[in-house]
Amino acid sequence: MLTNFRRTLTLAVFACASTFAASHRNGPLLLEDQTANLNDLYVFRSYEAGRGDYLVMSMSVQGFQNPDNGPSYYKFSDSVLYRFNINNQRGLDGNPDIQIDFLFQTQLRPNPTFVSYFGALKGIDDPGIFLYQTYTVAIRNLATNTTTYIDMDRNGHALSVAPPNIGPKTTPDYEPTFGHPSVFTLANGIRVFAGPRDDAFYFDSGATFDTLNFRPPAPILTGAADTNSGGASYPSAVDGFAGYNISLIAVEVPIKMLTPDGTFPTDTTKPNAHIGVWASTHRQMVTVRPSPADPIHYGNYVQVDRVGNPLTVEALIPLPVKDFWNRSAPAQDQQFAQYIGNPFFASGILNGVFGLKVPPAPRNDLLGVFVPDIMRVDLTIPPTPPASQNRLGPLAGDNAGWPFGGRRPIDDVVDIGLRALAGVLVKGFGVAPNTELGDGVNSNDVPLQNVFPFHAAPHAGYLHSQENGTNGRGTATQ
Amino acid sequence: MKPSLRFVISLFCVSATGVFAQNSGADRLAQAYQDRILTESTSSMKTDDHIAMYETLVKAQPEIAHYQNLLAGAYIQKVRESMDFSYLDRASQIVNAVLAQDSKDYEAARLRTEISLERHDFRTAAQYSTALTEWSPMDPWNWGTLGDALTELGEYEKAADAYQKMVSLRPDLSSYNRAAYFRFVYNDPVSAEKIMRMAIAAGSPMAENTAWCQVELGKILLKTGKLKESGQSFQTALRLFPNYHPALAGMAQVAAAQGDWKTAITAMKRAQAATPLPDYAAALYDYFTAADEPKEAEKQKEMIFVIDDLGQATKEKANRNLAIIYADHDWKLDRALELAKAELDVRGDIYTYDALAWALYKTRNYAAAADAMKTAMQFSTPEPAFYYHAGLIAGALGNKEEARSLLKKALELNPNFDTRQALAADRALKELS
Repeated sequence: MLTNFRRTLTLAVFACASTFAASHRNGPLLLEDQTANLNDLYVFRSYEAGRGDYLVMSMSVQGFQNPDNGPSYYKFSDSVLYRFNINNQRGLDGNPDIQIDFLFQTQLRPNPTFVSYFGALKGIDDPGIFLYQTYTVAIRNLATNTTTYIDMDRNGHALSVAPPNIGPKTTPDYEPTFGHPSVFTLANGIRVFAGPRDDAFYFDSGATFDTLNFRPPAPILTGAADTNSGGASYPSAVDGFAGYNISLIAVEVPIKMLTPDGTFPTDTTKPNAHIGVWASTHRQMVTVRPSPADPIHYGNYVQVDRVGNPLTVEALIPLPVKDFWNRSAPAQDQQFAQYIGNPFFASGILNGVFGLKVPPAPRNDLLGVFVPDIMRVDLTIPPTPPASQNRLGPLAGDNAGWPFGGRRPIDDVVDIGLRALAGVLVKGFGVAPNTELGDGVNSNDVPLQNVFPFHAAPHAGYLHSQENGTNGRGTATQ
Repeated sequence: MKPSLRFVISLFCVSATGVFAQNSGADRLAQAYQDRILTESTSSMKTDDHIAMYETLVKAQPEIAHYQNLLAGAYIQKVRESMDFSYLDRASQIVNAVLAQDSKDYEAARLRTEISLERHDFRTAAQYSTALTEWSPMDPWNWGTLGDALTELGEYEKAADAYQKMVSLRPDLSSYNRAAYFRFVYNDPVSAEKIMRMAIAAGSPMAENTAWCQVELGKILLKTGKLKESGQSFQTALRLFPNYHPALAGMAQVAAAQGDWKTAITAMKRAQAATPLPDYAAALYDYFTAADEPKEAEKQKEMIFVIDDLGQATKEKANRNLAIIYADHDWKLDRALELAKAELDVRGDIYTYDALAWALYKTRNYAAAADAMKTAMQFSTPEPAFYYHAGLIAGALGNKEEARSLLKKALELNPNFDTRQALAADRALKELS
């Protein structure tokens, strides 16, 4: 009896305090917003055999996905508009001329289980895909104010999201059965893909953050250590992104559709030879007060995140203005030039810590790339065949890579970025060791593909392991 | 508890970045990467893992205020999940210490507002929020806390402006759920439901946040009589965040509305075991009574009285939840009125006026009850209990036609809105007819 009374009393004491929280509406306040977060943007002329006249654009969202994070894994948000913005006029001023939007719809099919995928799935239409997502592509030409909505491929198949790579029992032969069939060709010749992929970004984040405790020979890479397949492997270099998946949205568009005059550019000096691309995510605004005239009035879409060049927001934009940056348009990026033109990383770290000779501020070489922050592509630069591609892109004579030809999955944007910050593109600074900087990770953890959507298949949940301390590096994807 | 590898990795990344930041001053790269890595790599961690990680970081580098603030934020999240208010005290101590060191610490200032809200110090929360909106007008968080405080104070028009600013700056789970709530209060449950679904679709790295919205959706559906959908919504919340007490309570209410006392009792007891709110004890009293288990019902009643005795011992004056419970059951009616009146000193929202009106009615202060009820009903909020209370008050004042119409409306919204009160509403309507 005493025990019961004590228990009641204890509970009651607890309840006194609890009453507070229970009786007011303590709605969550978000510190971060995962579903709308953009990670990386890739834009490049296709190097798939016979498709050099196409431009590939892909954005990765929801980074650091654990491949075994069932039962629902990761899905695109139905309330987010994912957008590719293309600027092809006015000397690339950071205002969009064409927009390609992806809008997702989730269908929860009748499900007798607690999991979202069940049984040996036979393909992308298998009814065992209980959490079934499809999408609509909207292509907006802002010059003519016309929009085309497409929700099926040229064969009448819904544009469906590739399911996760669960394991050999549920998703056997993933890439031929689920990955490639999720590439859809639209009636206008555009190809699209949406679904999980391996994260193609590679970077020794652990060493960098350990007070720049690079694993030798990094940060100075010479000889074999500076080649595509060179660099030290684990444990001498650790790709912090190895073994993780991302959600990828990819589109492959005939280049003629992206130039203002509808022609294929051949002369780099002509205005139609260059385009700028950035990705953004948007959510729909709502009106708080009901309106008698329009009781369910939803407002316009509001931008919540954007990405152009790699590392801009990470390396150049200070935290207090990050949210403001994410909401702003590239056309207004001149307001951030003060940060970009005088990067602390160059003066404080490369010069201050490592004693490297770097160009003085203002860094017009960086401003040219990052203001406005759009991924610039010279459409006249032919794609480099996969076997000849160099991870250092233009710094190694492979102009089809970042920052001249856009950005390919192979491009080592960390090493290119480090060297660019050290001033290798500025006369007098393209000397060792500035030209030899790198983190030591020179390639992705799994081989990239040479066909659309180019990112490797996602790591399988069943095969995923972090037990050997490699973050799953080397886990086969297929 | 063995920390997960994800925890270790995150800890490594964050510690490393912290050292980096400390050694090199205002190193933007490290700070920004810290933000990205920290957020993404901790996104699926449980709150206890967050707390363990931040406690370790704070111990290792107590001079970095950012870690202190992260820890305080994790403690506040823990309060949300467990209602264990000792975490709020810990959060408060940290935030006060950070602000004592640097009164301009923005992160700590934001947290201080949240703590004021949790403590029901709404006027102070409104003051802090107003100052923060001037400090950083582009931060949606500040408009959110301002709207929250103003809502509790009954300043709905100003709250709507603040929430509109919030959602215009950043439409996401946190701003959508507030817009949805406002739509409901302003008698637009159709839009409220739609917008709450948008909040759920937007999601949050913290599972509890999405589950919270799922529960809110369930409540909207329940109040407007969509029983089946409501049950599904509570179930989804439980899948997202197992053993979540408001979702369990919702499941119990759905079962009770169907007369399934066994399921209702099981679910509500689980909710009570997680968090022993007086509301849960009152619901269990009703369920046990309905299930003809008077001894069990009596135990729940005793618990409510013990909660009140302890509240009085700690000089608690305001408690509208207890006021409603007493008035609902015709227990300690003078105390009910005392508690409801005292609540008006703290806030002036429609729910407080409803509690006051109900306690006034039960103590036979009909004219005053009608005045309070008018304020509670100013937006015609589709709360079945509001219409029920208003109907009985109108009847007591001799306005039979109005009483009939109001009681009818309560039962139209949801014929089983409450185990005892829906039956009473039905009885009263029959008597009036």
